[in-house]
Amino acid sequence: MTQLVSAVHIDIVDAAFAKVVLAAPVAVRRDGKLYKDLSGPVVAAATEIWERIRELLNHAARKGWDVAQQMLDDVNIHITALAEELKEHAHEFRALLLERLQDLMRETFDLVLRSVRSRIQIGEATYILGSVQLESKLVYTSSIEASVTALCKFVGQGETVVKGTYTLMNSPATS
Amino acid sequence: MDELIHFYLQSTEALLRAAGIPAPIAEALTAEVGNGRPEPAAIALEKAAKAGLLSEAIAAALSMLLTRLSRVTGNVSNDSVPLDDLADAVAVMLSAAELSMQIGTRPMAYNFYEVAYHFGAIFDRPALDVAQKLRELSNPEKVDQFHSAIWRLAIEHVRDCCERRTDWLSCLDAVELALVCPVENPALQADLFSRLLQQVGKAQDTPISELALIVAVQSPRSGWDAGKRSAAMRMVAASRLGPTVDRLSPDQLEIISTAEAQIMFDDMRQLLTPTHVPSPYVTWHELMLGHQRLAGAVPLGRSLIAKSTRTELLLLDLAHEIGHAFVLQGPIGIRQAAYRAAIHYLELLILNIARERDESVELSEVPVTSVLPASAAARAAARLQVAVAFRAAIEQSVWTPWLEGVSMYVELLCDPKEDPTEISALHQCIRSLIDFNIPRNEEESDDAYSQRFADTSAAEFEEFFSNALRSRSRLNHLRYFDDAQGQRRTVSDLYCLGYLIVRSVVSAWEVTLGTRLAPAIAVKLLLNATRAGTFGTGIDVLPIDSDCTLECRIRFLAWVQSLAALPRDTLADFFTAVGRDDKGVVWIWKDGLPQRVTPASVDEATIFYEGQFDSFQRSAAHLAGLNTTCDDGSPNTHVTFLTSLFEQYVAWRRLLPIGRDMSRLLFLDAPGRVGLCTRTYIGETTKEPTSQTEPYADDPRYNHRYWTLDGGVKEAERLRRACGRVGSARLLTTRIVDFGGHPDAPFERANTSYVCSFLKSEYSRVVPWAMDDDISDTHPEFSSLLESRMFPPLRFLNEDDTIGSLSFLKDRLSNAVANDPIALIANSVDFETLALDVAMEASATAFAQGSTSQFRESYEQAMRTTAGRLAVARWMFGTGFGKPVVQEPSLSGQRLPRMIFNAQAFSGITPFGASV
Repeated sequence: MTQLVSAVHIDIVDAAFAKVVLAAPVAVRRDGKLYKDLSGPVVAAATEIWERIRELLNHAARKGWDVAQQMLDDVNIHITALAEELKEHAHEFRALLLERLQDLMRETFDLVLRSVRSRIQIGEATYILGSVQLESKLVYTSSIEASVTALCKFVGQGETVVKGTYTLMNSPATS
Repeated sequence: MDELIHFYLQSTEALLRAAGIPAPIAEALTAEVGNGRPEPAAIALEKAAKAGLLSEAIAAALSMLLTRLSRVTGNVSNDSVPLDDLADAVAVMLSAAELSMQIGTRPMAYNFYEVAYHFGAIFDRPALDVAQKLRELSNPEKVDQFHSAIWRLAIEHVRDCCERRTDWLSCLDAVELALVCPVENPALQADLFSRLLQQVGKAQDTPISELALIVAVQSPRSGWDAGKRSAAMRMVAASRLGPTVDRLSPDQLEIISTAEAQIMFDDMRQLLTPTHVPSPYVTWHELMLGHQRLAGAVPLGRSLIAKSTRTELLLLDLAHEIGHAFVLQGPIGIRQAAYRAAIHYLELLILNIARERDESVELSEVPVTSVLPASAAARAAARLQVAVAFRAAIEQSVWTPWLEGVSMYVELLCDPKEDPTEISALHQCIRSLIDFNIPRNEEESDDAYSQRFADTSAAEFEEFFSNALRSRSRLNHLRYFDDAQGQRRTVSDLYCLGYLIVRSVVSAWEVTLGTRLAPAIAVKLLLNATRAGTFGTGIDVLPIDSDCTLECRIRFLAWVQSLAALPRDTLADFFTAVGRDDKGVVWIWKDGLPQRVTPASVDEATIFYEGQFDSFQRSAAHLAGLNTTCDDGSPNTHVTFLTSLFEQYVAWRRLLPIGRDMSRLLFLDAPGRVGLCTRTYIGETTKEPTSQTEPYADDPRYNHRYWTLDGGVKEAERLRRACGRVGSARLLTTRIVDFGGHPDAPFERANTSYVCSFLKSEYSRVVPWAMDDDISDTHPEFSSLLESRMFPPLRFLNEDDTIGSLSFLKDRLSNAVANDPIALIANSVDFETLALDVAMEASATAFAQGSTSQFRESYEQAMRTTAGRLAVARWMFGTGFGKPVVQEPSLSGQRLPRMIFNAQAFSGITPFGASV
């Protein structure tokens, strides 16, 4: 088993955000109509908090978990305030946000794992990654605040330990 | 059974007569058939065919039928009839009915279908096919026959949809029609009702499981045991009122249980109705308003203000859309009517060519053709149509950013409470969508009550609207500025730029006046200018070959520049507050300035407006390629016709229907007493807490209105029969805002609404806002206009998909003429891009002294990222409400471009044309 340290840097955060689409717009027919074609209140609120979460995770990636903790509280307060502002749509907002946060966690996780090299060349020998094991935990939860905190902590640590098993091509497993 | 046999033998005799057999022979042959001897009939029919009394084919068919009838008669005359014989009897009766149709005797066909139905009923045969035929063939003049056919169709619909587990809506419609169309014969009614009750009882565990209870409550009085009916009523009423139901009088019990049962019914129906949910819109030409919450609902009673969490957003959407409709009452919209009238006239020319001068065919009955007739004249007319539609589309694109900006300003910032002395015309329209319950005090004079009603309703409306606006405005700002991660960038930019331009115009007025203007005050000038001050900005009078796009842009830009630069005196005069008890001021725009219409200048203003209206009519004729007079100097009758078309379109545009629902007409036991159950909101079916005195006051999902028909019982009977003829127990109900104050309307004042209900052309009811009385008889001209707004003549239908669509007209012309220059020009313009370019150009004029590239760079700097767009939205929100600016505008640590956003300006936006 090889112990690898994978950096959770800002590019991974940006790439994960780029993969998650908050909500697809609905196409409307505009011909001959003055259409009010705009985002729904839930999407608008989610977009606003999404930008805050992006800032938070960027901050965590740059400055580390300890520094980001202060900002985390503000983000959580903002989420609560938005839910209040949304009134009848609060539940829908929380559901959407939680779903997207889980998408973001999945993407982040995948990107970290993908950053581990799948094939290593040492001299004439080629080793292929057979299995990986992530040491850090990224807990999926039904709480938005806990999800944000978990993500922030994961990113804020700056690195994560990945254990991998490399196999020499056409030979029994080596560790 | 004997009665049935007698009945079908009688019908057989009539059928033979109808086929051409002399009456005595028909009688004799039928008797033979009844006695089980078909042979004489076969011989007689053969002879009759040879004698030319009927065709050989019909004779053969009749002969075969009589043989089968003879057999059936023998079979069913026995004491015990096997199932197979009954099934055979049904099959023979159906054949007889079909042959009757072939011979052309619908009454006999009906009779045979009826016999088939009865034979089938003995062994519980599903008979939707037969019931549909009975419904189709029944005679409206014979009420019991007609209504029993309706009942049978309902019974069979329920059976069929419960078996097939589909088509629930048709089933519900059939049942409710039956419930309003009772059969006069009590025994027949009782039989039909018990059969219906038996079928609906089988609907448990289906989407229509509550139907049994509803049918019991709304059962015809003669159809069921009074005690059972009353028990069902109590059960339904108790579901709403609880144990207090025991204290209700019989009348109260009937009203509450009928209404509650109808709510159950309509909730069920609502869940089964497929819904298409479009974004809110107003159409340019027809001026129709659409909203997902009103697609099958009408704002009635206090529905718009009863529950903030449900209707605040709807109310603000309505402010936005009614704002559009309000300003489109002016020249921008009237020009669109002129364009449409010209296109419609040209279409009639094309249709006239298409029907090849066959004048027996009414033009109004000829559908719009998607293929042009092969005629040079038709192609010329089609070319003109594309040219006109192209102009209409250009004007729409050029004006869209401004119109959206104004409507956003209304929706996002205009708190009516900020205007201490008067309610704006637009807010007046919106207020008239709410029915306030303000009882009159004893001995209160008309004037005093009228004043108190106006004050109280305005205060209540303003309170609710203000709360809605203020609590939703921030997120609504974000919604407009959010571009869905770039996927809706162009549309979002259109709104944002339109809003920025409007805000910068207001900012310019504020600089001129040296004070901040509350949005509720500033909007009055924005609306007035856009609605009344836009004469001369159109391209309707330009030569066909001119560069319409450029000219339209130039005219729009000049107009907005002139608006921003209104002189101080003019602004001060316009914004002078109107005293609470004073009449509002009427303004006329001349030379780009608003001028008060005084008693002395009323005639002058009238002449001005009439002159403008004439010029629209002339331009419609010009666009249609018509000269106003003929060569001999006489008036051109084509122009007269075109003018009438134009006036029709304009008259309809003054009336804005808001919401529509097919509302169930309820007949109560009291003589002539009826009610209407109208849904008021789409999207929620949760029941609300209620009280005994006003059980529906807090439940605004539905509105119930009851009244007594003038003709009492007779009128109720007539209405029931009309429902049967029309095939629906529902009245189309809507609320129509009259923007213009029609001369035949009961009130001179404009911007008020009327609740209208129509049963096609059979019945109409029009009730003005704040009144209870139907005015359809006292104001027939106005009522008929309202009705035609909802049911336009055939040739005006679906224009959106045909002559109202530039794409349709373009494609049709291109299919007939390859590479037609007009079609090519129309194809060369992307109208959304044009709108965005206009918005950029106007913004550049506002903020960058005309340098579009300089403005675009600044704008992009602020808006290229989601974070930037959100920051701008928050800035627009904060400054829009005049909140003190505590820091320089910032965007993720960077400054927002000073060119556009200015913390020192009264409302945070650089004044139009005052860029650094």
